[in-house]
Amino acid sequence: MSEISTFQLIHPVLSGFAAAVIAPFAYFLLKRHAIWPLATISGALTLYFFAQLPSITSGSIILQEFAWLSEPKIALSFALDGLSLLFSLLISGIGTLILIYSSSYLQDHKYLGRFYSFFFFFMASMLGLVLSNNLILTFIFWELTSIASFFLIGFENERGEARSAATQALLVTSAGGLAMLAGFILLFLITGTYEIPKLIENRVEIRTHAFYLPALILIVLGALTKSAQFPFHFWLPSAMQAPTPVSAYLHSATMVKAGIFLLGRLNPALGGSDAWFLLLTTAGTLTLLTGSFMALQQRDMKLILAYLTLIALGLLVLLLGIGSPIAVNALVAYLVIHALYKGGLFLVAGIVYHATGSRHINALSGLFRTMKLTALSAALCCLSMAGMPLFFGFIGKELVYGSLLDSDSAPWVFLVATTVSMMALTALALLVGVSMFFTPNTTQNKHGTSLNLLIAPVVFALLGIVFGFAPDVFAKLAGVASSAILGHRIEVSLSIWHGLSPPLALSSISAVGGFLIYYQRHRLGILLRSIVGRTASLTPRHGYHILLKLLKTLAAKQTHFLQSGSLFAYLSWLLGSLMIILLAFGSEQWLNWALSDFRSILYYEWVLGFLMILGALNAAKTRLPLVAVVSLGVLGYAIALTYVLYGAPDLAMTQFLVETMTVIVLALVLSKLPEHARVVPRPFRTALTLVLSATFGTLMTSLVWNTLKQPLDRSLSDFFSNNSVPLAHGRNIVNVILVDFRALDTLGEITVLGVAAIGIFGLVRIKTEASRVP
Amino acid sequence: MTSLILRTASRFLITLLLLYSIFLLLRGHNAPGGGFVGGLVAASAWALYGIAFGETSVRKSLGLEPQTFIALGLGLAAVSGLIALFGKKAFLTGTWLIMDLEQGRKLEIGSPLFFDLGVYFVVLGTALTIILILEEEES
Repeated sequence: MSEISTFQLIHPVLSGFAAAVIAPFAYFLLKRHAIWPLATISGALTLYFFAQLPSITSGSIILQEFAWLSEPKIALSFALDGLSLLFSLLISGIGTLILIYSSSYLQDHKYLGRFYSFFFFFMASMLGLVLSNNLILTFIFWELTSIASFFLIGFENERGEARSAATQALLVTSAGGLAMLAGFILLFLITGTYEIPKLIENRVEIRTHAFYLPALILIVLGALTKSAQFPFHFWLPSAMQAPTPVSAYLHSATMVKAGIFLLGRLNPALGGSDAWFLLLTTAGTLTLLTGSFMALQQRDMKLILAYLTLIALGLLVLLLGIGSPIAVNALVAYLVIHALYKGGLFLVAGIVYHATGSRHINALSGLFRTMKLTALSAALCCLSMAGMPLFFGFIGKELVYGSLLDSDSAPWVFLVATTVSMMALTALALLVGVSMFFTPNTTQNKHGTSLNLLIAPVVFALLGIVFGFAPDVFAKLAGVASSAILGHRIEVSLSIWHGLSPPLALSSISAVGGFLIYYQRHRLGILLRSIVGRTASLTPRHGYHILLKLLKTLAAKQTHFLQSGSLFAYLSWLLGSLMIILLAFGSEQWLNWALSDFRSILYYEWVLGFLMILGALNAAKTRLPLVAVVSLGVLGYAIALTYVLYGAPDLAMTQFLVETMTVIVLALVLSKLPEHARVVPRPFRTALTLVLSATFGTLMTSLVWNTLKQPLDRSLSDFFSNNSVPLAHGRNIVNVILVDFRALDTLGEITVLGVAAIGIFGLVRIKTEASRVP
Repeated sequence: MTSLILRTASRFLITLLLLYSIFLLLRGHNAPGGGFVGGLVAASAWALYGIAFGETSVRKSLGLEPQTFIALGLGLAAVSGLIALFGKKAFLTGTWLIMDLEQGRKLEIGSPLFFDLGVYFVVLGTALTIILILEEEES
């Protein structure tokens, strides 16, 4: 089944990221013409994947692995099978079309170069996600797509709504991503591997393990947040703050399907259990119903489309939960159908908004007369969405109904929910496709429509018909994609006409229901809006805001508690917790004293020790800050002298200089304080300080004392003294260690020094400048 | 702080101290010294000058902002590490140029010297940044 080929799967991902880097420069140099080299890159990626179609549809899988981390072993492993090829084609193909569309839609935007960059960043991350064959790699690309989505939703960053929508999407999806990572780690604990094929091999072991249920729940959480399932669905409508091409690409055709992709990918390893069925079908059904309920009351075209996307996503998750071959088949077909009609409709909404300045469904009518091609594409996409015969959507709808009727574990609840949502789809297809374009009273256009804007929707609309008339074109790819989800090979045949069967009856019911809803839409809208108005405080969106507020309050309280700004509090926390750790672990080993230990101290050591104690006591006793500083200086000089005694001239020299500098700096700081500043005596604080510092001093002394009693391991110092001259051409071992053997450490340290200096500079400057402002 | 003795003395002392700091830097590889200590001596030289003549004249004599020294030093240290890459060795591996002098003596110049010079500049820059910002007169 599998083969190793020279086709390097990492290249398309890397070239996507490379395009993200060069895009702003390309825009800077070529301005309006930058789109053509960029579209060529993503077009080439599409062709690249098209070229793989023959070998993949004949059943081979391309696997590749590059060594990466060794412990735990994580390889950069990629796989191209039916499922990843299907997604890669969607990502690169739709991406190319929408890229061309954006060049015209955002033509005069000052940040168009930046937009291209984010766009490619997303495309590359998404390709990496669908090609990766290792869970850690999957997680990395997963989070990268969330980050890309954050930047794209917040693209118009001057608007507050766009910024908060971007944050909301990022928080929800990356929280889910973290849950998913925890689930991956549990899978690793069960099987000892992150490689997806090996997980599938061990599916029995996984299924019977005690960690199966928690791992499943965590991973499903990740997938549900990403694919905007109830109760996490609310970020998707908010994300409509993004420019329309982004909504079409990320938030309908590709990124929101990443959750479906992941669940499909892991279905052979995790799927088929009762828990799987229950989790996915519940989430899917609730999302379906939420989407239908909310979509019917919207009047902004983009929001209607966003809630319709929820219906499609809910349907896909429901089908995956059922998991029978025919359901998976329906899933694969509906995935592509939805990408085509919804991508097309979003782009049409963009064109209409671009031309008329409005997206309000009641304000737009009769647009067919001024934008014929747009109206035709919209009509075709809507017919596919409504699932009319001879359109790709019809095949999908029949398959969906077929799989729901066929499944023995699918109770009538799913069937009712699906029928209701199909009615909603039909009704809104009429609203979007008919009432906006083919009615009297033409809305006035402000702008014409350019060719670049039209390419993508026309292509999407035509593909909906082509696949509808000749579904066999798609059948082979659908077959291998379904096989990948199921874990065993199946053949798929898609036909235009299934005969007079129960699915057809359900199709007819939903079509008629859709017409009825369409004609009663005003009354229904008023009713639904009044329900929503009354239950606003019960929605998940409201819950999100409460949670966010709680988090902020908690963070503020905790910060205020731990970071009170008082040096005394900081030191008490630090020393106190350090002492607790020291006393709690292994204190019996080092907390032993013997008076005989003191006999080995020589007289000049006594003198130096006495000097240190004197300095410390004087610093603690005095109320004049400057005296305290100088006393600490004395203490430091005495320490430096001990270095001299023990033959460490380098250390001694450095210590002398550091002490000198410290005294200078502290004296300068003191000169900034008000004159005659004194330490105010506070009895309680003094007592506490005394206890804390005496205990801490005793502990540290004991620790050092007992460490010194251990025999010294000289192997390291022997290595340095033997190799300092032959390897590093220097006789001063201390310096050789600093600049040669351990130079990387030193580089890190001087970086910290520099950063600290700039930090201090900033702090003092800001303070001085703030005080200058009257 | 306008002591005539301090002013006169520090004028000579700064030259001596700066020379001494370079001496420490260069001998560091074989005898006590090195970039860190050298940098500290140089910084204390300028600090002394600052105490005698004020912060503005230090900035004037330095010619560069003290933060520039930090950037310079970090850059130098990093670049000295990159030299090893040309010999296909790991980052920061010492690379040495050994020249034979008369009477069998050798002159050895290596990338660690430039690394140490980088340390010298970072330490000097850091200390001066802090001292000068603190000495700045509030206007």
